[in-house]
Amino acid sequence: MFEFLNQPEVIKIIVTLGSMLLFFVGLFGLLTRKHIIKTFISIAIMESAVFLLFIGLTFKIDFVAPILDSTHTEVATMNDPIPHAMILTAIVIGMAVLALGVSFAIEYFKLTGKTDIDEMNEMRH
Amino acid sequence: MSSILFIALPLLFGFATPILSKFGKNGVAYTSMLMQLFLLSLAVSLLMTTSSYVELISIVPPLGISFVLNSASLFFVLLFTLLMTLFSLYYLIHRKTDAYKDETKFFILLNMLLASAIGLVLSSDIFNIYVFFEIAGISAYILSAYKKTPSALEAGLKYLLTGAVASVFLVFAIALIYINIG
Repeated sequence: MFEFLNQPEVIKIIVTLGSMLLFFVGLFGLLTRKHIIKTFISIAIMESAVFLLFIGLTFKIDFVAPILDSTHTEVATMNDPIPHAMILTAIVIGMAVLALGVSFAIEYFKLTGKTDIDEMNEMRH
Repeated sequence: MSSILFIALPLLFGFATPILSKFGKNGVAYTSMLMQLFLLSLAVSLLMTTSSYVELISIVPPLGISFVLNSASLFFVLLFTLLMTLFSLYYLIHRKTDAYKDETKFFILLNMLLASAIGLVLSSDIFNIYVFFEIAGISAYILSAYKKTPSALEAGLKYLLTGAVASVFLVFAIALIYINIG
């Protein structure tokens, strides 16, 4: 019944639409929520949407894992390893940035007791 | 004489700072300043050469990292090293009145910022540009919130929010470029 979902074109459309939906969920949260932790969560959602899009659009069904070995020599049917390496690095970097942001937010909350972005106007006076 | 020295020397110095700070109280600030002066003189001595200089660090022949040093990137290298040398000079003059409590961490971050900013202009593929951009961003976020006063933390938070959103869009752009032209 659902065999048509296995076609590469259909999978590309599903991946594109789904990750764009996830991206706009994150963007909506970033623009409407005022709590600082919620904005960080929204940024994480946006990041994962972009990662899903990149991996989903460069991944090919029927291709094998890109391992160069004495037993794996079919280079022509291997998936491209560069997006995987790129996204793995980007996940680690994104996690580091979010941890840094949460630690800033904790320090700021300890000093002033504020979590709302609109109340962060220390630099205006 | 090679362009990898511009990236490797500040990075090495940055991570050797905890060891260097064991030798004396003033040692780190002065040796950091000397290292940046050496990089500045190296960049000035490269001004006379006109041809672009490509350095390839090859692991297995198709895989490798390449750095390109032409006149455009040499301009930015000169700018970054000059600014960082001037900043170190300022810090040495004013450190009696304006000194940060934990100099070790401060110089690690400062030299990481210098190394990644130079790497950003020297590297020739977009993957390395993204990595150096993020390293420069993270060290700049920590440096802007370094004093831990409420206004410094607030500035760091705002800078981090805008930088994180910008890096999401940068990954998106890299994905589109890679899918279209590989």
